[in-house]
Amino acid sequence: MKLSRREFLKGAAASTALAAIGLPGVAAAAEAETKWVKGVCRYCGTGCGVLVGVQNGKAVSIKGDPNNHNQGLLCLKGAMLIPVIYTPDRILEPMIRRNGKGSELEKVSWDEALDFAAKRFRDTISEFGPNAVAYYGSGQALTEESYLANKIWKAGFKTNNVDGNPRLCMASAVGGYTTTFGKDEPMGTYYDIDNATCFFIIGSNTSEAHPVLFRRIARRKQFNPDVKIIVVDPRRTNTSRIADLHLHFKPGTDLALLNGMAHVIIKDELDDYRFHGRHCVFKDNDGSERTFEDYKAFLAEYTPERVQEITGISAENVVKVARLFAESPNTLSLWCMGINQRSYGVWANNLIHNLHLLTGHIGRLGASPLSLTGQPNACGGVRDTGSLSHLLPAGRVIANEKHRNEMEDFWGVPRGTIQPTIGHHAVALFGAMATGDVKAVFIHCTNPAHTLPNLNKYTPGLQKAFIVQTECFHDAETTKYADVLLPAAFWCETDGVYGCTERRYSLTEQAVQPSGNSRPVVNIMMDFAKRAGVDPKLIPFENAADIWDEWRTLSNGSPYNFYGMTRERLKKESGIRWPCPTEDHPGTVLRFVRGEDPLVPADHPEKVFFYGNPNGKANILFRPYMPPFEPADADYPFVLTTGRVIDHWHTATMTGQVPELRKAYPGAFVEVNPEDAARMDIRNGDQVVLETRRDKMTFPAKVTDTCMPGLVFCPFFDKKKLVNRLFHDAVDNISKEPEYKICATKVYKQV
Amino acid sequence: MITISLTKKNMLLGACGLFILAVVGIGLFFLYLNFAFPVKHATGTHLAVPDQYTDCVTCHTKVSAQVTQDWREAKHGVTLVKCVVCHGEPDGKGSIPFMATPDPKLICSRCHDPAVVRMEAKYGNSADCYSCHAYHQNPVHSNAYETRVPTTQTTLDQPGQGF
Amino acid sequence: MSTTPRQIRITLLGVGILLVAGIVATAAFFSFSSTTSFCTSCHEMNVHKEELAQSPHAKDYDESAIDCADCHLPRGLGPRYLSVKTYLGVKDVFVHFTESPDSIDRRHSQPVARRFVDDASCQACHDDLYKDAKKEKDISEIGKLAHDNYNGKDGKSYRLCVDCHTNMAHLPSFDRRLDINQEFAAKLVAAEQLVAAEEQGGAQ
Repeated sequence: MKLSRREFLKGAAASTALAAIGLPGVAAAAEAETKWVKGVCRYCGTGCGVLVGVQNGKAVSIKGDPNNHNQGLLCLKGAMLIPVIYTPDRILEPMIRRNGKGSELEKVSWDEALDFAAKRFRDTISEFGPNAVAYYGSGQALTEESYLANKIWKAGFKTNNVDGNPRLCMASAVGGYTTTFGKDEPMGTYYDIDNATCFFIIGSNTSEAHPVLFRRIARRKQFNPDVKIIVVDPRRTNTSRIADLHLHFKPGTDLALLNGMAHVIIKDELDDYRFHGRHCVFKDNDGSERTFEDYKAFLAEYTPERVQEITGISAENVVKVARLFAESPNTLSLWCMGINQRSYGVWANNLIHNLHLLTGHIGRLGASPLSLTGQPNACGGVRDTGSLSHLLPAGRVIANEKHRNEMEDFWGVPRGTIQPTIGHHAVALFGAMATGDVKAVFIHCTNPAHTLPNLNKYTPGLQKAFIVQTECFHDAETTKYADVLLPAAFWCETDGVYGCTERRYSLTEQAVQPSGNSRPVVNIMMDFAKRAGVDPKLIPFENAADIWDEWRTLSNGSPYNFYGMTRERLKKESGIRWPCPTEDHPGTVLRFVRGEDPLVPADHPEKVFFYGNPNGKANILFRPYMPPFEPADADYPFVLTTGRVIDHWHTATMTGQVPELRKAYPGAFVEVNPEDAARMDIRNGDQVVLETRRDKMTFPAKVTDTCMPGLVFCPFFDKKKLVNRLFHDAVDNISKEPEYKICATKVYKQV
Repeated sequence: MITISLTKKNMLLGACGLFILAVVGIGLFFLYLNFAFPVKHATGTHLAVPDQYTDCVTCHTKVSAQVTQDWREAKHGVTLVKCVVCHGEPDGKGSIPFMATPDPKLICSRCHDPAVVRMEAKYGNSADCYSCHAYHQNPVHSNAYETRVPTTQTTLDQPGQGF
Repeated sequence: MSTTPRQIRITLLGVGILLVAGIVATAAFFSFSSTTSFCTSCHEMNVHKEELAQSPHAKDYDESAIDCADCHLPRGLGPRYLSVKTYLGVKDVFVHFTESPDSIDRRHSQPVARRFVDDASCQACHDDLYKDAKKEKDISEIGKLAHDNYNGKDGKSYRLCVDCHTNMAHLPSFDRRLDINQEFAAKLVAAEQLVAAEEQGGAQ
């Protein structure tokens, strides 16, 4: 008997079906009445649309939203989001520590908890001034929450101590976009992925950190195998599986590579003079204007041979990658934390923009520098609303008096209310808590006791300061330090807007009632602020929709204009990209392009108009190569880096609630290259010690060629192994973002 | 004193007897063979393993190499849609019920709802997606992305790789 | 016509002698036909022979060659052995005369071969399931768990050795792509290239 392959598989299916259990029950459940409520995935910055299936007031299932950019697809985390809502680890009652740190958390009423927190804030402000309180927010908070907090703290409490975890992940990208283009946020969208002919992926493990985007890149490659994919990463991750060229280099030397590529592009005359001659100005590191000839002279030292010396990438490959980048019809750059979390992160961002401006790979479908975000609402919620210590909403900065006055007028507070000095940035904020300068902090939706760099230095601050926390899950690291723990409604239990990487705002509608005694955070914040002495006229809102309307009105006329995105429209449509000034505007795909971007006048003489800068031109900046803060040396010969695994998201407070995900990676491990492992006689599963100048920790070894020799990798999700204790806290000078990706370490087998 | 007359009738009887004996013998032979060496083994309980080994692939690379490899090379493997997303947890305590053959209506449609609707419009309501779509190995697209050569090469740079 | 007691006795004796001779001949034939040299005397078995030579099961722990029968026939001379020997013998002869080496589909012969590899044959060498055949190194942690399961701890799996340990001595081309077979496949390819090179050299 000859079986065709198909019949063979069918037979196999039938026989395995015998082992299946519970199928009839499942089928019956699927047939029951399910209401599908639209939303956005709670996890990463990809911002996939989801539909939450609700039965009898309970969320039971999830599927991808076919009308959103993800076309119905979900990654494994998103597909298992439902159990997170109903986990036993949810915080369902307000809790306080009546007798200070170390005492037991005690369940109390909402009134008592809010009064307890508000009194402490009031007392602190009257005794030590407004700068003794702070807000530490999150790129996972809803846009309405971040906007509200920004307003309450900057105009209500009158302090600029408003920062958040986007400082730890996106600040360098913000710095990159603003220094080059004048205004933040990318000009490209995910459409570019479908049109690019060359992908330049640097410092991003897209496959594990943004799986649905990776699938879109893979599909592009599959439909058109001529599309070239270049992955530049010291780790050979799953992203490299679809790569035509994977380059690994000595960690932290990519600035030299990027300058080297510019060198080759100019030397081979692959630059687009028509583009950079018209739309760009060359600027030296000190901001003074230079010429193209000066730029050539600046690049002269970055010959491929010199780059090989610095990075370890062969001169031949430097030339190859530069030519691929420049000669391809449409090149799309994607990068993430490998570029941002660096002590010269802004510079690295600038250098990528330089390449695009030099070659004119910008302002067309498929050609764009597109920075990927890590959190679902870092772009929309924090960058756009300006909820950082140096920003004000819609691209305004605190340092600019005109901007401050505009905001004061809009918010209806007297001129001079907003302090002219910028507040503490994230790392400095926790430093100020340790020194006692900041005495009371409101932490929302993030886990700094797990994620701050050089943790040992900053935990005393958490011990000292009074901490009010709105959170969904207990037993995260930070809740151990919280004095007041307020139960927040989780994800689809409330409604709000998320803004993802591609300037797309999507609304998550309320699907189910908040669990237990939890409340939407906007209501908690307003209640808290009123009790803490903030003028109730400043926060005349009923719910998130009211806040959205105010923020929408504020955006009108700004470069972030999304006035056309009414709540009703967001309910109907699965996400809209700004600029979107009117209700009938479909949203913008190509920013800064005449005819596409409504903010570029229709009769503008140039096709591309970088209106973020006053002169309408983008900057090509001279950023020399600088080594990382702590390169490997004789005493600490290895480089330690950290990042995500696909199964877990951030500190695993959510993914840790899902049995499948928890089991897939129950704990942290250290990846060691087989060559290094052989030298140190390390085998899979052996306990390996990582010792840095800060601390030392033991991890089970995973011997794999993912890491190049001399590099070890440790994921940061595990709360039992706080990897961040090992890292140093040096920050980028411009963006104040810490360098999580590179530190020197010793590696040895535990005896 | 036995006498056997070798008549035609007796010989015929003997032959018949021998034939029956042979058939019964061969029958018994196969019966025994099937008993001693069953073609299919009853599937037993799933390995009850401690938490750190429940990343299915670790074991299934060895015990069901074909299926695992098909997965790894096909789209779901490249994009890291792992076993548990469609099959659930073997102990049934996962976020979906454990199914060796996932129910398309419940599982596939979570991501491929538009495709399921499109296919139903074309071919009618079919309970079995698998008669056309081999579930691990997508026969058309398997290996479509694969350019990575398994390597333990550890030089800093790899000239000649790719392209 | 009728038979006398004398005739019966002679007949019985004759039958007895024939039977003994038959048994002896059969035993001799069984024994002879179970040798590796006999198995590989047929052209279609060459490929299996070459694969075995490159496999981890080419030699046992004290470096003596492993024969086909060591794995493919049950141990001892009991009914298990006799039945498998008879069945496979008849089948092999039948296939030998009805099919050409090229028409044999190894996808179909693989499950047949696996069906008759007895656990006892494996455990003749691998008697300690928690150590390698030389009893020097412990097996992996996952291996220990799996063998616990095989031994009936935590619920029995009812699987045979070969249900998990596939491609131990042979590697058809369609299994070469499997990750776990990479080492074996590499050796095979190297050996094939060597043969091809020699043939080319001979031709010149």
